Amino acid sequence: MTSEKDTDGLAAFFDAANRDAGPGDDLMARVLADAAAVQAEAARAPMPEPARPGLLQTLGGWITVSGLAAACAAGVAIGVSLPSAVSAGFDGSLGAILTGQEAVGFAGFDAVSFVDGGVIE
Amino acid sequence: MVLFANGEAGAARVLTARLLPRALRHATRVLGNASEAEDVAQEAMLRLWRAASDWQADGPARPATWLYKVTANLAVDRLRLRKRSVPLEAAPEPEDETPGPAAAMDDATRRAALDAALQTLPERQRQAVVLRHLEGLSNPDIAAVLDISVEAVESLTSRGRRALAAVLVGQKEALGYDE
Repeated sequence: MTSEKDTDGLAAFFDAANRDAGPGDDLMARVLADAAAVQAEAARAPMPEPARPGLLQTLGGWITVSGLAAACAAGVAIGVSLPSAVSAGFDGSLGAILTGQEAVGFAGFDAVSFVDGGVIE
Repeated sequence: MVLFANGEAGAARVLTARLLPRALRHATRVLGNASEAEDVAQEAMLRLWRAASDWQADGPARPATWLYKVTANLAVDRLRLRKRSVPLEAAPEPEDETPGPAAAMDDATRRAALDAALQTLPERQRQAVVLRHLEGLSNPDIAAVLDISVEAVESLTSRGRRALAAVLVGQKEALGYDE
């Protein structure tokens, strides 16, 4: 298979070597069997498990949880502020405290449960 | 390779037909032993199958070059395990050749002589000569396979070819080489 000028007479030897019989049927079969075994092993490899519904889904998704987080933060803020501000602002203005969030889901919640960090089920 | 990694059954057959002969030729000439060469070639292909799943679209541009590298390394491992004086099991005695076409007998005799001459070369020269003059790889490809510089490849192939010629030229007439 040399493309160089054959000045040393080796071309005939190289050509004879390249006319050598290729792999026999037995070797071919062994190699193909190895290939099939590797493919079968790859097919049996466990698939990544789908994500289990976690606490996030249990709590109703990001919107609800983010609102919950904001409400908790608001509850902490309310708790550290003057008590008068809490009672005055609770009924209608709690929603205003939850800026950017949908307050409807929290309208029925007892503020105490937020402040206490009660579990929402 | 991507088709193989995706479980396509036909891909293995196509890849085997294309790549196994190269690995076997390479191993046979470097080892000078048909049985060991088959073991090396099979092992090299097995490593190819296992690596395929990791390649996908990010694999080497030419699996054949990767395979030559693996074959070269496996052959070196084999050579280190045996003495240099082990007789060539792949070289048939010319006088034992069964009657057949004259051309086939000449080819077998020349292959035997070439194998014997290759075994007299240092391992690196032998690898370089086989990859250059038998497998037809370019010098940059051989450099990648042997993990050496292109200049080193050129030096190895030229020295190796000169050494082969010195061994074989004197046997031309006796081997029926009459070009």
